[in-house]
Amino acid sequence: MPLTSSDSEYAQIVHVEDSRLDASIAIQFKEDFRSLTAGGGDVILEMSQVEFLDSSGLGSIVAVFKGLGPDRTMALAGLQPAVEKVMALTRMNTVFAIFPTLEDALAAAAAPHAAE
Amino acid sequence: MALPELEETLTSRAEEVRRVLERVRQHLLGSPGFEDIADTAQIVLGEALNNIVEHAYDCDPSRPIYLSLRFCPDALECRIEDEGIAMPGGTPPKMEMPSVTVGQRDTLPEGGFGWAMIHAMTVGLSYRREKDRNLLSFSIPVIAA
Repeated sequence: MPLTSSDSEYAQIVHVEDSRLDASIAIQFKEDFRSLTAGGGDVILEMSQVEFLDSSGLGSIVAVFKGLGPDRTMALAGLQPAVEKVMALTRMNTVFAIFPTLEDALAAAAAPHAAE
Repeated sequence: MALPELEETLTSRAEEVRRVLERVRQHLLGSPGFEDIADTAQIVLGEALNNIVEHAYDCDPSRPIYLSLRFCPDALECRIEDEGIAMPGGTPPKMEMPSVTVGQRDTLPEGGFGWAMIHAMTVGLSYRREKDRNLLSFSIPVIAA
């Protein structure tokens, strides 16, 4: 199982539990992500364990993002250098909210609710 | 003096590609002057090898792929051979990076990045068909420190 999930107040956190998000696990990633996030709400994809992302892995991230539908956000947290390189080269870093750490992503998720 | 080389033979499966990429990465990290291209080499070689698995061999998981790397002073020369079907048109796709429009989630591309990344990160890309083999070669420049 390459994914696990935990909850925070304002977003569900999906942790990638594999050092590589590549062609060999892209399909399973999509299936597991969809079943884990079926309950609704915003998502933070926590990728600090991922040392390598290839085009299939990137395609699977884009696919699950689209699958969330227009009303749910998905942020990425904890990107390692090789992953950031692929995100920058493909300009996907302009599409996703990307945070250095999970804590930063959680703070951003909480910010809109601070005045309530 | 002969330049150092690394040769690997793998079968056409994603798990084998993963194994070889990890080995190449470790080798580059242990080769003075090549540490900085370890990530780039993994990305480029991963795309090229997975293309062979998925297209040249059409996901037949038992066919051979031959990889050889040559550690030149200014670049890592990469050469990949397979016995699968030829590239359509006899040439590698000259693909631009798929366009990305922020705010239009439904139209975001889910593929087409592979060849675009190979083109973006290599020089001297060459492909030819020789008898029943595909020969792909390219170089990854070493950035002087």
